[in-house]
Amino acid sequence: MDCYEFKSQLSEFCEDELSVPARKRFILHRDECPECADLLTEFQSALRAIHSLPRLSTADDFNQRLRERIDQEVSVTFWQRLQNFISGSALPRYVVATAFVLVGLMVGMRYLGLEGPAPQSVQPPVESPELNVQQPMNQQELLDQVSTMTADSLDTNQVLQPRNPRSYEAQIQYVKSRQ
Amino acid sequence: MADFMEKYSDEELIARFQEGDEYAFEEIVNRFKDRLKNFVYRYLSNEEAAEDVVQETFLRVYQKKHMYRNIAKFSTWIYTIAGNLAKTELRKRKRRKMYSLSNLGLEDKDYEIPSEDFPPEGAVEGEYTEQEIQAAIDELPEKFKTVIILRDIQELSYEEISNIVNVPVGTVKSRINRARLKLQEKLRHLRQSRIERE
Repeated sequence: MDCYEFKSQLSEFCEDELSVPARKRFILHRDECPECADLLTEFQSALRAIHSLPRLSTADDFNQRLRERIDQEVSVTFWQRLQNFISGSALPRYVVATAFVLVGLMVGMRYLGLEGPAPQSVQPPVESPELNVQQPMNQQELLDQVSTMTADSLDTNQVLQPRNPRSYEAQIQYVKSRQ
Repeated sequence: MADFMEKYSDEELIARFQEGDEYAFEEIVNRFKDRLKNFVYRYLSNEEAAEDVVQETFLRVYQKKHMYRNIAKFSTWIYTIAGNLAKTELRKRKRRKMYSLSNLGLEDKDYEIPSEDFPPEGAVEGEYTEQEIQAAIDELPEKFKTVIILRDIQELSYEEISNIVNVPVGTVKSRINRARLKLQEKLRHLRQSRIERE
């Protein structure tokens, strides 16, 4: 055993955790090396010192103070918690406070409906196929439309067909009879 | 009620508390308050601050009781909470100390203000005073300080310490050995300087 190995086994020797052969080698080195023998004496002395430190007790009113603190914490308000959070945060207080104010403003604006204008769509509006369905004219509408026409401008294919293809023939008849 | 609760293990107590039994919480407090105070006090060297941290630990247990899962020992969980809070408090105190020192003028640094953190000095083991031992612990790096307090003051097993500090048992063993060697070296220096002063 060398001095380095001896040093690394000091705790195990003092706590009686070395195996029998390892313990024999340890003792053999201690008897041969006066420096390591002194080190062991100092080491054991330091261990005794730390083990002999007095044990402290908590104050008599410890439990009572703890109960009061727990009761106080349980009844703490949301704002106090928020305040504690801000004061206990690792970030600078002004950063946390600014973040809270910004979030509050955003939530408030949303709540009050004060959001900015919705972005304009670049897509052309897509018409629903239902909107292209032509509703048939009633009789009054048909009469009103036809009465505004002159014979020269009459193009039945353009004017009448798309509006009411099913009554196309009847409309032609009606227009001709009026002329 | 206290006698009735004594028969329960720590894990049974927290399970009862999770179901709403406040007496179980009271028993947990009684079982752990002194142990935790010793652990935190050796970390912070200030009795008042240590008691505050222990109170905060129990408050966390009360508020986060449902976060405990019965996959680890309850003592491991509560020591982890207390250890983390103690580390945070220690860093805060160091920052405050650095800030107050930086605010002192050069001429002010000549004055030595006696520390009020330690209890009245008294011989502990004969060779060293309690103040010397605590000063040596204070000077240890955080990772050594934690394991030496858990092992030599709290007398926890290597397995428990391994779970608390989240490193393998082998690492815990070697870390404790190195921590004790450092402590022994610091104690030797403190004793030498005391002898020179005398």
